[in-house]
Amino acid sequence: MAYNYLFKCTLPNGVHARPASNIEELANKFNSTINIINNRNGKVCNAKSSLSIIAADFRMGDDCEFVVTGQDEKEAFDTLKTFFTEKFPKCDEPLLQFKETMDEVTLPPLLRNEKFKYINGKPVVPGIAQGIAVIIANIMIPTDVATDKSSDSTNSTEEKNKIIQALQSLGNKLKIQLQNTPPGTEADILKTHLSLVRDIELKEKLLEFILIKKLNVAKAIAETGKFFSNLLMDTKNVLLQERVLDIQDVCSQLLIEVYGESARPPKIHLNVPSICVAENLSPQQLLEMDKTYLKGLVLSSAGTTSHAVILARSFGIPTLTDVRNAHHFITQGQDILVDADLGILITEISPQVKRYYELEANKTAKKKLQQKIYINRPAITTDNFKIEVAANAATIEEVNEAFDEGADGIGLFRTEILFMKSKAAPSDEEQFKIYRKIAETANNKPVIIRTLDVGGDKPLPYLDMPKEANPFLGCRGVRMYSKFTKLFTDQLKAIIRASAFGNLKIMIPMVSCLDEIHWVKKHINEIQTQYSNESIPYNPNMEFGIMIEIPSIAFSINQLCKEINFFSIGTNDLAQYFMAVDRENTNIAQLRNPLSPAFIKLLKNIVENIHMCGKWVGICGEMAGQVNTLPLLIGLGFDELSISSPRILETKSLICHANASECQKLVDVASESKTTEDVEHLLETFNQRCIKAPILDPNLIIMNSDSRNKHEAIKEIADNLYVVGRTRNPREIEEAIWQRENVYSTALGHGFAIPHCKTDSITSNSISVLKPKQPIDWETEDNKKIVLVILIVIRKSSSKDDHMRIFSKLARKLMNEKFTNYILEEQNSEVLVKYLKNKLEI
Amino acid sequence: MNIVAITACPTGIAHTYMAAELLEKVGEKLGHKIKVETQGAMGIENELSETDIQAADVVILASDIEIEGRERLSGLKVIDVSVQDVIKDPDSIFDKLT
Repeated sequence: MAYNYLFKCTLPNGVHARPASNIEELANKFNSTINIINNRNGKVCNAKSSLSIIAADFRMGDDCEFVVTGQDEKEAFDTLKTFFTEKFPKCDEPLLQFKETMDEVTLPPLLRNEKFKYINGKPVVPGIAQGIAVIIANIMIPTDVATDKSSDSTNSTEEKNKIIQALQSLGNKLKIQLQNTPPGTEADILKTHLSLVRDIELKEKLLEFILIKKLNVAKAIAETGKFFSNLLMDTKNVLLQERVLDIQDVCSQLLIEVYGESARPPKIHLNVPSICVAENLSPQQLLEMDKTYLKGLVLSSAGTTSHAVILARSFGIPTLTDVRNAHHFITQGQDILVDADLGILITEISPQVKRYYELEANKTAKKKLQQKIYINRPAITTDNFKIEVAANAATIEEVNEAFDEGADGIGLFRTEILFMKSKAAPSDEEQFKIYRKIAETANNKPVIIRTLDVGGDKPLPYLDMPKEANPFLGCRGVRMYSKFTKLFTDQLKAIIRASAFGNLKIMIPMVSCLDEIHWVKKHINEIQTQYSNESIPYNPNMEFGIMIEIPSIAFSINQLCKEINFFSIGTNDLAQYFMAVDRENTNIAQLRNPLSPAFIKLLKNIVENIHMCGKWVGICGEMAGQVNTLPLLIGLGFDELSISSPRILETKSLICHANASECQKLVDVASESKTTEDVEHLLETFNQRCIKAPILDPNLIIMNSDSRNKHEAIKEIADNLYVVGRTRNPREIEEAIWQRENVYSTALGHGFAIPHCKTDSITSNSISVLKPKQPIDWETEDNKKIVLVILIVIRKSSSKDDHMRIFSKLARKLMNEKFTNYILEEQNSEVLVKYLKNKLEI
Repeated sequence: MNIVAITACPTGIAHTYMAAELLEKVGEKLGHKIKVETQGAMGIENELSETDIQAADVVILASDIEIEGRERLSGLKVIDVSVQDVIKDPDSIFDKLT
C-alpha cells in the first residue's frame, strides 16, 4: 500500500542543491521507495538522489506530491510529512536579489571625459588588478580519452566494475580529504562533490551507458556529465546552473580515477601577472593556479554563489562576473585591467587611464604607509588608555605575518589545526618544536596558546568520541580532557617545556567551573614538578588563563579569579550560549547580534568584575575585529583585542585617535538602550561625528606635486585627505569639488586656484595646499596656468562659526600681493603653515 | 563718490569676500568712499543701513545669486555685475559708474 502526500513548493529559489540535499539525506534513512512528482511538469524524481530532485525543476508555487512504498513506508511517510510541512518551507534563504539590468557605472571625474574601451561587469570580489589576459576555454573532458576507439570494450562487465571501483575510491578519497579540511569554503565544495559521487542517479546513468548503450567507461562518464549538465542548464535556475561546474569537476576526477594522471586536463601555467578570463572555472582549476601570478579574474557567467567566486573571495583576488562574451573583446596576451571596485573591465589602457590607476595605487600605498607607523607603536587612546592589539593564528606562517603586521602579541594560537593535520595526534615532541618556534619568533612578545578545543562539532577522526545530539552543549574543550588524559598531558608538556623559550601563556577553552581549573592546574603542577626534578627548564611564572564562553562563568569571576591570571572572551560562543542561538543557523542569525543591549551589559559586567579582581581581560572572536564596533570595545575597557592580522594596523590607528572617556559614555548609553537597532544607530552616529583636527597642518601641504592637469590635482588633494585620515571617502570629496567647479572655474588669476566645497565626508574643516612642479592648465578662459592650488573643504554643519571667518580672511588675503608672493615662494611646509596660521589669526 | 555694494557668490565661502576686498581696495584707491556688505556662508556682514543707502550715489551689486533685501535698493542707481567680473577686473567696474 502506498502513501502519498500533496504539498506546495514555497521555496523562493525553487529546489536547488541545498534543499535537495536536505531531502535526499532524509529519504536515504528509509528502505522504501520514495518518489516526488512535480505536477506542473509531470516529472517524477527519486527522493534519494539530489540530482534527480534537482532535475525535476521544482519552482516556487509548484504543486508537488511525494509517494512512499515499501517496508517502512509508514515511518517514512510520517517523517517526510513532518519535514515537508514544518522544515521544508524554512530550509532555504530568502530570494537572492539579483539586479536584472546593469547600472551605468559612474566613472570617477578623472576618467569621465576620457575615451577608452571598457566593458561593464559585476564586481564580486573588490580590488584592482592589471595583467595580461589568459583566456581559458570551457572545461572539457579530454577528448582523446573520451574518443579513444581502441578501448571500446565489448566487455561491459569489466567496464561496469571499473566505474563502480572508481566511484568507491573517489568517494573514499574525498571523504578523507573532507575530514582533514577545516570547515569553510573548501570543505563545502568537497561536501558537494562527495554527495555527487554517492548519488544514486549518477551511478544509474553511468551504468545505463555502460550496460545498455555499451559504451566504454570514458565515454560513459562524458555522456553522463553531458546529460546532467544539460538537465541543470534546462532548469533556467541560476543557482542550479552554477552547479554544472561541480558535475564536470566530479566527472574529470572520475576519469582520473580510472585512467590515471594522463587523463588530467592540462594545468594552467601562469608566469607573469595575469588576469584569467573564462566563462567559469572549476574550483580545482582555481586551486591549482599559481596565486602569485593570478592577479584578477573575469568570469563571464559565474554567479556570486559559484564555488570559484567563493574561493576567489577567500584568496582576495579581484573578480568580475557577468561580463558577457568577454572573449569577443579580448585577445590572448592583451594588457587588461580589472577594476572590481567600480565594476569595469578595461580593454584599452590609454595613458590617462594608466595615470588614473597609478594615482589610485599611490593612494593605497600611501595609506598603507601611513598605517605602517603603528607597526612598533603601542595603541594608546588620546586619554592614555593602552590596549594591546594581538593577532589570532593557527600556523607558524600566520604568526610571522602577524608580527610583520605590527601585532603586539598572539592573543589566540589555535592548536586544533595541529591535531587535524594527520592521522594520529601529534606527539609531545612534535608540538614542543612548534610551540618553541613560535615563542622564539615572538621574541618576548606574549603568545597565548589555547589548549585543544575540539568536540562533537569539531571531531578528531582518531579519537573515539560519542555522537551527541547537541555537540555544542556537549563534551568539548576542557570537558573532554579527562577522557583523553594522555592526549592532554602531552600537550601540556609541550607547552610547559616551550615556555622556557619566550613569553608563552596557556589558555583553557570551555571552562564552566572551578573544578575544571583545579584539575588542569593539578596536571600542570605535576609536570612542572617532574621537570624541576629532571632539571628540564620551563617558566614557573607562565600565566594561566581561561576563555569566557559559557555564560555561567561570568557570575563566578570573584570566586575563581585567584587561580587565574587572565581571561579572554570568546564572543562567538558566548553570544551563542547567552542568546540561545546556534551559531551555524543562518535562519535566526539576526538574533545573535553582539550589539544587543543585554550582551553589551554582560560584557560590561564581566570586564568590571575582572578588573575589580586586579586581572586583565581580552577579547577574541568576530566582534573583536570589527572596525565599527571598536568604540564599544574601547569603552568597555578591554585590555587586549585579538584579531586577524590584516586588521591590526588600522585598529591601532583608530585606537590612537579615540578617546576612551567618550567611548565609555557610548557604552553606558548602549547598554541601557531598548533594542539592538538603537545600538546600531548609536554607533553609526558616533562613527560619523566631527573629529576635531587643526584646520591647517603640514600634512595637508603637497609640495612638488607631479599632477599635470586640473583633474589630477584635484584627485591628488582629495586622496591626500584620505591618506591623512580626514575622510573615509575621497571620491565624495572629489565630486563635491567638481560640483562647485562646474558652476564656474575657481581660478583667480595670478596663477592661483581656490577650489572649495561643503560636505560631511570630511571629519574636520581643512585647508590644503598643492604646489605643482609644472604649472597646470586649469581650463580657464584666459588659459593662464596655475602654480598654486588652495583647497578648502568644510563640513555642512559649519555655518557661522570661527572657521568661516578664517576662510573669508584667507579669501581677502589672496587679493594682497605681498601675501601671495610669500606663499608662492615658501618651500617648507612647516614654515608655510606657521605663516598662514599667523596671517589668518588661527 | 559715495558707493555702497553687496557681494554674494554661490558657495559663499571665498569669492564673496574676495570681491568685497577688491571693491574696497580699488574703490579707495580711486578716491571713493565705499562700504561693502557681504552675503556669504557667515550670513550678512557689514550690513548696509538705511542711512548708508540714503547717502549713496550708486550701488554695485556683485552677485551670482539672489541677494537678500533687494528691496532696500529701490530708488538707487544699481550697477549689476557678476562676482567673476569684479575679481577679473575690478577697475573696469568703477569705469561703469560714470
